[in-house]
Amino acid sequence: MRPLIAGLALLLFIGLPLGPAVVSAQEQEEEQESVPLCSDCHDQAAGFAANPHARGKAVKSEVPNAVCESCHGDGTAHIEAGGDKDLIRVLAGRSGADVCLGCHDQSGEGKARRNSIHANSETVNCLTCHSIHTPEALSPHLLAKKELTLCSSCHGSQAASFRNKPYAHRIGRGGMECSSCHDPHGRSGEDVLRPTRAGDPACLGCHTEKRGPFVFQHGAVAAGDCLSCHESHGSSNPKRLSRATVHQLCTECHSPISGGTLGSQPPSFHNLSLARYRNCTTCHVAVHGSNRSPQLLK
Amino acid sequence: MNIRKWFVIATGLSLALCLGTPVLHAQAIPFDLEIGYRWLDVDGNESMYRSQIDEQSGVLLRTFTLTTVDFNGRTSLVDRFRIDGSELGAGPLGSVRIEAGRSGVYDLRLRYRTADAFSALPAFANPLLGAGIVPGQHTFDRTRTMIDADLELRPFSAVTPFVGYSRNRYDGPGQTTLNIGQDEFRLLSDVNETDEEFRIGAAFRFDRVQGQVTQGWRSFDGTESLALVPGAGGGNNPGPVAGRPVSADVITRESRTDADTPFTSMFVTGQVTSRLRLIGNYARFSAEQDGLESELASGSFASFALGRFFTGLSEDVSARAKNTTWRGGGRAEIRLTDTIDLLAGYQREHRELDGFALIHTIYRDSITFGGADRRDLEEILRAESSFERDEDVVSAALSARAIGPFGFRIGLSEARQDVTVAPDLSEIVVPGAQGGDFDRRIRTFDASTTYTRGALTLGASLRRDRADQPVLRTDYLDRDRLRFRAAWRTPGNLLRTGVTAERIDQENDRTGIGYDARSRQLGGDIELAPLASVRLRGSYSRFENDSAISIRRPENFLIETSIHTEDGEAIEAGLSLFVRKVSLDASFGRFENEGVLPFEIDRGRARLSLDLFTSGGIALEWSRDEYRESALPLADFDATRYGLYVRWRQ
Repeated sequence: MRPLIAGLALLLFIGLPLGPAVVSAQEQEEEQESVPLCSDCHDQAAGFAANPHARGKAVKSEVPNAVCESCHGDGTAHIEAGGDKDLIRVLAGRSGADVCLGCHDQSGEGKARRNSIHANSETVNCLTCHSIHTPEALSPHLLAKKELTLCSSCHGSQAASFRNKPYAHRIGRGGMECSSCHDPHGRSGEDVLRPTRAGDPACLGCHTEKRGPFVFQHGAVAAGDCLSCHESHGSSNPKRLSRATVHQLCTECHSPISGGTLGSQPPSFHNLSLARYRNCTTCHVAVHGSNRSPQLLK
Repeated sequence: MNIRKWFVIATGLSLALCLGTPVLHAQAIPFDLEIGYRWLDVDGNESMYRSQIDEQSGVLLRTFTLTTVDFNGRTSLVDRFRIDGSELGAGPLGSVRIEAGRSGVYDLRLRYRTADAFSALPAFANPLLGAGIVPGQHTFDRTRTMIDADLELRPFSAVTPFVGYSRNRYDGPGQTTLNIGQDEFRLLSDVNETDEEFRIGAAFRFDRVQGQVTQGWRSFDGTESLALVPGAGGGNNPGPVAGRPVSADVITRESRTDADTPFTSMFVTGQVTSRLRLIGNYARFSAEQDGLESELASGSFASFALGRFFTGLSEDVSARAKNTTWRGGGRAEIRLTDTIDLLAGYQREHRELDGFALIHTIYRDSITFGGADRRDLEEILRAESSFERDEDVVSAALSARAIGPFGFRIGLSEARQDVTVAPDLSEIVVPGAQGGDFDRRIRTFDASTTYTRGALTLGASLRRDRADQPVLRTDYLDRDRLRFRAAWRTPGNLLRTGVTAERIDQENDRTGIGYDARSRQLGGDIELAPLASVRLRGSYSRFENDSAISIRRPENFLIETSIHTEDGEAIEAGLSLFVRKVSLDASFGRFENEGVLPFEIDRGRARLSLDLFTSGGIALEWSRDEYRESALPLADFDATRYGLYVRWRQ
């Protein structure tokens, strides 16, 4: 399988510069020559050929006016008036975003993006995060800035925990971004998390070895979720745990004083005044689940 | 040759081809490349540095981007091609993303990511910290490599078939512990785990109905080999147990785990009228995992559970676990006006797990603590466990996106959880609270509003959750969350400023639990651009996390309060300068935490870029991190990185 994938990748790359040239759009070229092009005046249009919105329509890196007009409206009057700004649609704010939603009002699961947590309001809309003409060079999806910078403009405390706290996911340094776990077009609540394709919680998309299933499942995983013990963004505590010491984290659930909750009482030889028993995971190494030890010892 | 090397070669080849293009053709293909070398200098605890930051010395491809339409008309294979690479080489994270496609024919997306996973913490899982022995006994130095490939075929107007492949490999050495009898022994671990996923499906669109169906097959194959750390046969317990020294001569353990998970997911959307959209979704996966393990140990051991000494152990485990999960629901989106929508939905999720394990253990040459009854002792455990969880969520929301300068959203939802845990008897050491039926109902009200006038934007949101029962002790009964955000800028962006505040209170005041947690976060930032070429920025934030809950100490059953506090403050300042061919970006940040784990972090960053000629230049980087733990100075480190990079832009 590995050589097959690698071979396909190589063939693709080798094939790119060796393929035949495209000359089938001659008529389109001739038509373009007869009227002024948007790119004659607008530098943005000249560089638009690689933009996803010009896909399949650019000919030898030139963008026909129809591509620009699909968002900005008919430009004939604008051109005839020598570039009168009042005679062309300028996209800004919510009304500008409505133009985007004319084509993009559906997320991966068919939900309307206009109802997402980043709703199409005057305050937050498509054009708050996306820049169609001048996107950040390294960002996908025509984002206006690097993703962490963009998200931190509103979610400052979450972004600060990535930057400042000692134990944090390495966001924005290649390979992982906010959208690796979050769906920016999701609804409020659980919808803002991005599950795996099979429907697992987002964390298990990378941490596949924690997925199980295990014969002896930890109750915190079965009845709760990863956040029962861990902090997802950045943490002051090792292993991004929600408590500074392990025994504190464990005993907060494993103290069935009044009953009615899930979490057993540790046997009395677990003397918390001794270092050995304050470090629960020294023995209970398989805290996420085990196939071989009922007490999660291996 | 592994797939990582193939991917690097493929990327390098494409890079070479792309770089050659400007020479061969009049019109250059735009690209951006930055590559160089990073040097690292660490004083203090290098393991702690690696556990937190882990930027290493070495060659680093900082960025590479190439975007083209069709390679100057020299190919009809693509009308869109883009490759992005970042942080490849000295790590700890790196990625390559390739997107290629031809309109009406196909879309191809390839993604490669690598992440170094290192952990060697001084105080975590370290019962010997008091003796000054660091790091702890659980460490690892592993790599996670992930590949995703997705191909969509677009020659048909109504149906878009697609295929995909993903691979996640996690491997490398580590150190862990194994408990045998009354002692723990350090083991070297070698993990090799691969998770693969194939998927195939189709998206469809027929008039007002559209949707997508995906069928996938996921497989996991993992092995772990463990062996006693040389010289670690004495274990953690320095003294004799029941009058007899405890030591291990040999410990080996081999485990293999296989899991197969077919999954199906689909959704269908119907635009019933121009104002009514109905959405249905369904996903199901069924994971079946088999585990085999064998363990051998010899030495001198003692077990209080057996009431015996023994000189060897052999254990064979055969295990099988099955997890079936499905989720389905429906949703209606009703457009009352152009800016007001009513949303209602229902979602049900069901998870069930059945586990079976046969564990066969032989304790060799065992005798009672009194020295009698010498024999091999055989123990056979046949364990069965099960778990079931159902969750139903009903929700409704009214969204008014634009009423003048205001936007509103109000939502109500109710979630019902039904959890049944049936542990095997072998899991129960102290009876009680290890299994049973648990029901929990959570009602949620959330409301948010935004306001925009000119350069001023305001946003506020409130969420209130009320539950009738906890399942875990740290589950809340009441939770309130309030968020506020304000931002303002002057015309021309001379000055931009914003402030955010968040407050979360959650509690469970039941007798015997007494859980009370609160979180406060406040932050503000300001950016000043007095000249087009100068930008100053600063930010301040502070947070407080406090929680208290009653716990019972296992050794004496005394009830006390477990208190956790974090009291942090962060100050950041930065400067950006752009003067003709020179640009400078520098920043400083200080983070202090005065909670139960007090520490300070000072971070400095500077980057100087010089454009030496039209399409190229160099960049110099400096960064420094100073970490101080007041309670544990041996965790401290000072780490400085220097980088020299060559930049080439077309």
